[in-house]
Amino acid sequence: MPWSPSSHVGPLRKAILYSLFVCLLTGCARHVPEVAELIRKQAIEESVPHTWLPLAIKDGKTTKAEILLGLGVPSDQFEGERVLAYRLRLERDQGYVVVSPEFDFVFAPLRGQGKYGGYHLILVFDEGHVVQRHSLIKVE
Amino acid sequence: MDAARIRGTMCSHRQAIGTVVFLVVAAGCALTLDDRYVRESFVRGRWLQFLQDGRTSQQEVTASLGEPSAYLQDGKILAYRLILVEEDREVTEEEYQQDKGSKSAVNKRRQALSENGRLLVVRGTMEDERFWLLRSRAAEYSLVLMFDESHILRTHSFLRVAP
Repeated sequence: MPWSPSSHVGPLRKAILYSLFVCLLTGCARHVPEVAELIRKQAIEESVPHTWLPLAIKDGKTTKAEILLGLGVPSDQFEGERVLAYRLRLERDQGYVVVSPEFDFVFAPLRGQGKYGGYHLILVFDEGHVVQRHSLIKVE
Repeated sequence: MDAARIRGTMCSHRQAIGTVVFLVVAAGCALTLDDRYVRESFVRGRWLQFLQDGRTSQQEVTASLGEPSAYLQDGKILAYRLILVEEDREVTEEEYQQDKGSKSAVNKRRQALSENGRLLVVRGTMEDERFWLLRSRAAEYSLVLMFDESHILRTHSFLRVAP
């Protein structure tokens, strides 16, 4: 069959349509597993990845007021208010995000929330209400 | 000639089906949750306008919001855990289960709450029937208020807690 422009209009339109469809589906895909794996690996390897927390925490410097104003109401407090705890989940685009005390680390990932991991941020304060030490513990 | 016409008709039908599929997928992806009525800026303006650093007293705060979720640093810091719920009724479990998968239902509820909602203070663990109120919240916030020696608001923060 001889080539003519009209005989190629159909396939061209189809190709454009399929390209648009694929682009749309790609745009709807919310997460890239490789990046998530990288974030998770680095989060475990580093003792406390400060850069991904909602605020930079420095032992011996950061005050309790700064922590409360930056992270909000803690999920738990122990020994009066000497130890404060926050529940966090790791998000690909936002880093660590504070979640409510009732956040379900087991079933929420099935709904697409916190699938990069859940964490507890534990802060110990001295008598002057300054962070003495802190740690980020992964919820297994 | 007839065969060519039939081929042309089939081709246009395929194109029409392709376009419909494309539009359906596009519409599905386009429907998103409307955050307008649950954003910190909106909620602050709607329910917490009375909070002004350097002016509002601790007494005014507790008179408006009630007892806080926690007192810290000898009462200089008040921490409120707030949830956005219906003013006059509680959402039933049936309504909640029905609506939670539907973005349009969630958007509709958020808009209704912007007019007829309230911020409820969560204190301690909400167990039994009160736990249901917590589970059905439309949004959750952290309000932390720091007061000076004269019990006047020095500074405060208002943050939305991730759902």
